[in-house]
Amino acid sequence: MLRNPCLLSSALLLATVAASAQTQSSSLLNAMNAELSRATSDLGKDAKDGQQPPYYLSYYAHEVYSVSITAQQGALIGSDNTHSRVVDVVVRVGDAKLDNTHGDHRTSAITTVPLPLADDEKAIQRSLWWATNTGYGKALQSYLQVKTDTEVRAKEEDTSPDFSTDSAQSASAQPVVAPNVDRQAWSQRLRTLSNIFRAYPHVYSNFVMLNVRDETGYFVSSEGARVVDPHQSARVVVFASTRAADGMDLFRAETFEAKTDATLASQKEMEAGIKRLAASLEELRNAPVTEPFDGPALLSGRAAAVFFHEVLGHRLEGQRQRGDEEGQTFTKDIGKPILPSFLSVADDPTLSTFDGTYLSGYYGYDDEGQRAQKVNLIQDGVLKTFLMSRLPIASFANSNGHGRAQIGRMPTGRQGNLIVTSTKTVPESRLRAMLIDEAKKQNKPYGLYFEDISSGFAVTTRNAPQAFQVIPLVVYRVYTDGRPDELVRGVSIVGTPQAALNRILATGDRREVFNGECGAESGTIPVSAVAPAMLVSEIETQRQQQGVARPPILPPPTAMKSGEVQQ
Amino acid sequence: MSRARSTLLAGLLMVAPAFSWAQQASSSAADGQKDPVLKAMLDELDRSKQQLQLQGFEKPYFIEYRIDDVAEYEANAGYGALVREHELHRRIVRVTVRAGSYKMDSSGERREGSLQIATVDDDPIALRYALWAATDAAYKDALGNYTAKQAALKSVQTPPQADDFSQEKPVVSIAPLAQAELDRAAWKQRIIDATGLYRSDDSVKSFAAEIETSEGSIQSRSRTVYLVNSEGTIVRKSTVEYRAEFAAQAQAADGMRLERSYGVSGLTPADLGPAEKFHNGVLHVLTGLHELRNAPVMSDEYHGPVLFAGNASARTFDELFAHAVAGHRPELGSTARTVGPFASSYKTRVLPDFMKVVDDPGIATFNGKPLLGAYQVDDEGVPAQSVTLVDDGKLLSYLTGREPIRDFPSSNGHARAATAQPANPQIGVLHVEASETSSEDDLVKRLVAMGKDQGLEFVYVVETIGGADRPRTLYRIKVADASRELIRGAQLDDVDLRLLRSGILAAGNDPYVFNTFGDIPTTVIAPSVLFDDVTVKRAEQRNEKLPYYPPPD
Repeated sequence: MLRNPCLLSSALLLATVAASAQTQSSSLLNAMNAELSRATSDLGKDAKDGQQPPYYLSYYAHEVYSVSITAQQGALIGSDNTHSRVVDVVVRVGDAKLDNTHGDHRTSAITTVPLPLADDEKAIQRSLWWATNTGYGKALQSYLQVKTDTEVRAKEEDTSPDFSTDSAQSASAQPVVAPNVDRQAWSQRLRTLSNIFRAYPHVYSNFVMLNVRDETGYFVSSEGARVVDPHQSARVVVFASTRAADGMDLFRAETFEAKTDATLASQKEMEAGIKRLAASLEELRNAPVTEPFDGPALLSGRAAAVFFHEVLGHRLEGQRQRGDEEGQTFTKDIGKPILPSFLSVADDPTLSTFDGTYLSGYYGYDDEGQRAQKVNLIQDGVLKTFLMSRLPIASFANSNGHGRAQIGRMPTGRQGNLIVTSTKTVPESRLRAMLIDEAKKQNKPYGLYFEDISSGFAVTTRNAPQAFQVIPLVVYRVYTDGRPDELVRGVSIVGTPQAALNRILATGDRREVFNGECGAESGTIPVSAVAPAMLVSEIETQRQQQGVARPPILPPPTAMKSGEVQQ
Repeated sequence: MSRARSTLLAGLLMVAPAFSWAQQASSSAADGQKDPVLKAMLDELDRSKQQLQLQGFEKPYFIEYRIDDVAEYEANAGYGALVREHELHRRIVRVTVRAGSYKMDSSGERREGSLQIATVDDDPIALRYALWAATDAAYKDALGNYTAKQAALKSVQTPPQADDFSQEKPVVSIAPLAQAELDRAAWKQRIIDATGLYRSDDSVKSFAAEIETSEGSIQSRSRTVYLVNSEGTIVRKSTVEYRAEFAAQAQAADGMRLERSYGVSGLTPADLGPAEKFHNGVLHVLTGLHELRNAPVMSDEYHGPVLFAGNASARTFDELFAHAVAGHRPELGSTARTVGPFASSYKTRVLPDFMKVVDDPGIATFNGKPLLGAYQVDDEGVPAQSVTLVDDGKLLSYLTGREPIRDFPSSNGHARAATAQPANPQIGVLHVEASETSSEDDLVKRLVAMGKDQGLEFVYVVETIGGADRPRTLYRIKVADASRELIRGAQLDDVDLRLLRSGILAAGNDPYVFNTFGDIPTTVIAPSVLFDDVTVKRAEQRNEKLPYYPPPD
């Protein structure tokens, strides 16, 4: 799209673009509707060879425009611009009680194919026909298997149906158009940003990446759903790592999010962020290695947000309460306290910002065409509900608009914006004093302050230990005797999740946002978590396993240039 | 010195002036310094040569820096509409460090070389940063591998059969940078049109409902390899290849899945031919698919003479023969010369005595056709040489890179590398020739006569082939009246190196050029061949369900 210097004509240009997009989207929708109706009336019409008609069919087309530019050491390593249209065709055979998706056959319902980018209804419809055919064949075969499996196995613990009864939505928002990203200007910005690392010779690998992704979802189903749902996001990701003299690898990441690239943080803010990040790595590299510790700890808001997302959020996903392989940590805890009574937790994907900060987990409709809803998961410490897709569980029969997936995957209950609220708040300075008091009470020389935590992945299946994976990145010892705080490296948390959650003593009065990408069975999706700083009476930590590779032999070419002394 | 090597050198001297591109490549090291990428590589190489040493360990004796600069463009269409358009430009650094000596060094089965993504800007510091990071990792790995190898050597009785690394004369060759010059808009339209022909063209739209998939693509791929090493080699080589393809699928009434495709490739956009040629090629495929759908299925198993037309023959040589002539170092302690089916075939017969095989990457065209496998300098910086692999049916040489095998102490310029991968001996332009040839008509006549002699009802001709055992176009010829009929659902058996050695009765006078587009482009030129005894049988494949509901209009 051309950038126009004149304001008036640029408005006109936008108007024409929008108009053409409108016709384009309607031709896509027309083709989807036409094929959906042909498929529903034709498939299994004669009921021969056990070919019963599908009881549910949906087409979810994703029109995606994305721009991705990456820089490293002051220069570009890649700049890509893509436009794609892909459709997820979901076919269900059987009935809502028992269908082809039962148990571990969930993926049998989904078939994903690319769709024409052009406004060619015939070509779009033929692509849909081919995918529907393929999908229907898979569904029939899987349904046969499901029926056999169910007959031979013992009765399942959770006898809920395979598909919920939820009302079909309709919504028609204006579809997105190709984002107007000034790639040249951004290339220069990213070069300048990544160039900052040249001044930090021990930050060995690093990159700065811009991702702009504007997409429109078109969802139609045999239940009558007709949803056109646009979504925009822009993100700058900074990643950097170093290696200590003893071989320990250390990394940190910083991200900036907004709805559009134009509203991302200023270059100045990003520069400051990168300098802080790089300086902290240089500092971490020289920090002493942690000792095993079992005592009080303070989590910053950002660290607490990651902690809640990983430790609590994943365990509140509906499907985790169903199935023999799942951990079912909280399945029988509805109505019971699982957190201190001063804490409440909601997941609210309808919020696009929190105190002015963009939230990555924002969406209007979920990936099953259900409207996003705020869900109060935990109220005053008591568990109320789970994050639900259209896969029912014993305690809940309906979706609450949290069925999410990446393109090509079957949606499951996932987090959007997880928001932790506290009624027992104190100023953060007071929280720090409380940490010191708590350490004294426990006869510890210090407490730990977790400033930054990276999310690992939550393991909730029965075979794996019920341990959460969070990787502390920046941890300080806060001494009781008034010595200055001391940065330590190599901290790793041990222990079980529930234990840590129940040991929260108090929270800060200011909440921080963590925006990230979350990976699980249904793929990688954008999420946010919002939480205040938290004081925990006891966290057990140990020294992380570390690499044995030596730091580089020669100084980097960047260091040479700036006259840095050799190691 | 082997006979092969002296012919190679003579061949190189004679061929070199004939190259148009050889004249373009500069052999001045000063020109290398003018290229910002090579300059950054040389600067960092110099620093590594001078300073790279871990205390208490040896300095490397050999360092190689390679940067693969790859720019790809691809557009895809389906059912008459554009589906995807994609462009990518990346640079990848590959650093190889060898510790030890030419005689015995760190190279072996373990991971060799180290990779980094490098900038596509010509920023010298950023380029050197990537080289520095890869060098550090490669050197540390080399030291570890060298120690491990010294230990491993003590555990085997048989000493290595050859040195670990050959000494070669440094080469300076700076070729001009090539850039893709595809008319994207025009080609996009051609593939859109091609994939929509099933419903738009009068000659085929009567059976539009049979066409299940109709897909097309246009691709250009340029790769520039920058290569410098601690011996003084400075190479820049740059090539572009193009390909347009069409493929369609249908099912026969019994559910058998059928596929036909058509493709053109070349070194210039003009090599792809005019729009009309592509259009007609696609129509031919669609008609062929329709015919195939109605063709009879291969029934009884057949053992007897089979004629492989040029396409099928060239593909068979590519699949069976090309990898067998590559000389790979055998594992430690082995007495073998090389690995693979020709490990002990040196100087023995591998083809009939009227056949000769030469790999000559220096030929850029053949009968006016572009050869994708052609190159001037290989991916270790050694000039490509013409290698007579087989003469009078006997195996006389192997394709070699810089890791020698017994009796072949030097590289003959056949080390070729895929993007980011290590270089290995591979074919460039493999030319299979016969000293006695027959016309296609005569071959068919002979085939039918053999059928008559053997009391067969039919004999078979494989026109095109998918894999070594998968004919795509197979005809059976009635021995009684020489009439031809297309057959579907057949599979070949017993097509192997033994068949090539003693089953070729005659060769055609119609050499076919088979180009493989890709990361390591190759060419096989081969005549049609008449085999004495091949098995043709019914393919073992699942007949899938026919579409559950008819396609839309």
